[in-house]
Amino acid sequence: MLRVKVIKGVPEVVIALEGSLDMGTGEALQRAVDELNLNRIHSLTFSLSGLEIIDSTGIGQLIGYHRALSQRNGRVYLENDNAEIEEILGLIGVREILRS
Amino acid sequence: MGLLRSLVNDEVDGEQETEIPQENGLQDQHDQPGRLAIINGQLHMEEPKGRGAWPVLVPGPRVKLYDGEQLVTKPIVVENIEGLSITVDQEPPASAYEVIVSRDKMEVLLKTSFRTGRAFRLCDADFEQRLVLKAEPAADLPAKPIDPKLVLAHLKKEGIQTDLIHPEAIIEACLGRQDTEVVIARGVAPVPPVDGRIEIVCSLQTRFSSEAQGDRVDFLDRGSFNAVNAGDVLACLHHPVPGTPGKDVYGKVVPPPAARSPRLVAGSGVKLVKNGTMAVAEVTGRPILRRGVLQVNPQLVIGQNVDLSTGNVEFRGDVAVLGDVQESLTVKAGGSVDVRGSVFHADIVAEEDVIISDKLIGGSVVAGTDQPGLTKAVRLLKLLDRELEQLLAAFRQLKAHPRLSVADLSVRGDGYLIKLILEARFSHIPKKFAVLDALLAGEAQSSEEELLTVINGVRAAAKRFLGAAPLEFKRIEEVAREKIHLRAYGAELEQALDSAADIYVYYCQNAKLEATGNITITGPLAYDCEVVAGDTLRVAGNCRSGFYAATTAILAKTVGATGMGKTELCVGDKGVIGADKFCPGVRLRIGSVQTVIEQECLTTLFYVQDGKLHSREFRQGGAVC
Repeated sequence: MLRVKVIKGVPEVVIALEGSLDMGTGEALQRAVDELNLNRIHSLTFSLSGLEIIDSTGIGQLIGYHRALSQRNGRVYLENDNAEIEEILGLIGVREILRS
Repeated sequence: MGLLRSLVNDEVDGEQETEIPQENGLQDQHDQPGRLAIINGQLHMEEPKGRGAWPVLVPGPRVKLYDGEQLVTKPIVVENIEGLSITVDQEPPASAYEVIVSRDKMEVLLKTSFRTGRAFRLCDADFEQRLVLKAEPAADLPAKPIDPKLVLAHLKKEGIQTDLIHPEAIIEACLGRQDTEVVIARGVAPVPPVDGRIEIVCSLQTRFSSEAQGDRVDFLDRGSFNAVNAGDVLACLHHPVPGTPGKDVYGKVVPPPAARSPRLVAGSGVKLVKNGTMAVAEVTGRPILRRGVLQVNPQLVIGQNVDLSTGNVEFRGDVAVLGDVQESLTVKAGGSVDVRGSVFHADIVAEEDVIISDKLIGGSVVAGTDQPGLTKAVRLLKLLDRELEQLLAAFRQLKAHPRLSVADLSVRGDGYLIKLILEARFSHIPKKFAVLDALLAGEAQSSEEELLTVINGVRAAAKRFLGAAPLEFKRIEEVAREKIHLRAYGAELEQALDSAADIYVYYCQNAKLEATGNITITGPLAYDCEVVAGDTLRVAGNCRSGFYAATTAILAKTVGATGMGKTELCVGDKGVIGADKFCPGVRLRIGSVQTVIEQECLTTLFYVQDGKLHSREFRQGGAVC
């Protein structure tokens, strides 16, 4: 179960995620992003503090948004104070790729 | 002298003998001189009348006049012709032969000569008071043939072997009535031997010219120096075949001439095998035949600068350059290269040590192998081994993480997460594999079959980490297996590297140096160079700017300099970096541990223990060379 809360503030958008971001729930996030006009967005911030579970598909999805926005000179940020989720991001190196 | 007779009067009708007295020396009209004539070959005489002159008879050429038995050689006054006789010399035919034995007694010549004779007769002549007796040719007298039996008898008497005589030639010569010279007996010539000979199998040319490539002219390419490899057959000795004896016309045995028996003489670098009938190179080098001695000189000495006049130098043995190596030139040796001068923006490639007695400015020096990429490949494989271990550790840690769902991996396979990690955290792994693949692609073309198998194995493994290929990993264990394979391949590649070759150079600047063994810079400075030593890099002086790598150790007097370009030193994870002085800004990497010198360090030796950088006093000092 993934709860997606989009806090619209174009050109800077914040999406708060709660629950589980995985192969089964990623579609909900995708719908939310699709509703946004990425061409008008400068930055997209995902708040991950409410996440309990994430899988590699979910992480791949976040990296995918980063790539999409990077092509439009936008950026993706991750907000997170969940140490365990942060450990996963660190092991995979997600923050490194978002900095690139 | 015969008496004068009036034979003529008897034959001349109507003429009366009249005596005319002469007075006071004057001739009376009745005085008539006596006369002589030859009629039908007979001498006739008219006696003189009165006080007429008595006839005179003169013997001419080829005519002999006899008065009785006495030969008359001067004109005579004839009183009468009785007692006079005349003969005419004849020219008889002649047939002759001569038997000549040649000086070597191998031939008998028959020389025949046939001369046609001529019959002469006394010329008729009218009555004259002074008659000259003359002869004239009457007929030719053909020469008679020679009796062949005479010749055969002659040969028999001479002791000529009968079975060697050609009778038909004798008959033809004897009966032919023509002057001839013909061989009538011939000995049996000895069959000459086949001389022994030395067949040089290798080329003794100093240099082979390069074939022109279309319209392109490469002034630096003057052809490669001729060289043979150890074990190559250089020459073969072919033994002589003795001749067969013959016999001369007397039947005496004629021995054949002695056959030449050359001898293979092996000089330095050459070994004789197969009972001295084959010369084989003991060393790799240039084959030389000097004064009949075959040798292989393992060293090519260029007694001058290597420049446009010499072109590039490529030799399978050692090369010694007594001068400098000039810009854009290449010296490539299967052995060592010893440059007594400097090297300016040139390339030196040697399978063994390289010594540059003076400066190395620009250009590159590679020592130790003609596959320099292998050294880098081995180094990369060692780095990748560690990094793949980190990848595996990260993956396992993730998979065990309570907050990471792995349900998707059972559908997609572990490859999805592996690809994520490779992209995000270990992006240098695919990059290194790409470099490795490119390096080995270059090496594959010149490698032996056994090494090629290893190279292909490494390249196949490398490709699994490139692009989207990691997605194909079903399970992480496949990565672990590839890691094990790569480690084994790395060990095989390392074994395939030639024995360590060293570089010794006095001074180097803006140059690339790569050696499988040690690199030693004996002079005051190594400046802005890219140096990779398979073992230890020693710099007696200062090491400023550039990249310096070694597996075991880097030891220098001074490293870096204030205000200069970046100086980076890199050694293997068990290596050490030591110097009398490290200047601030110098980057050090020992294995995967990196640091930047922030403050000047004196007499310090850096090393890594338990994954952490340590240092102790560097006691060796700068006098490392």
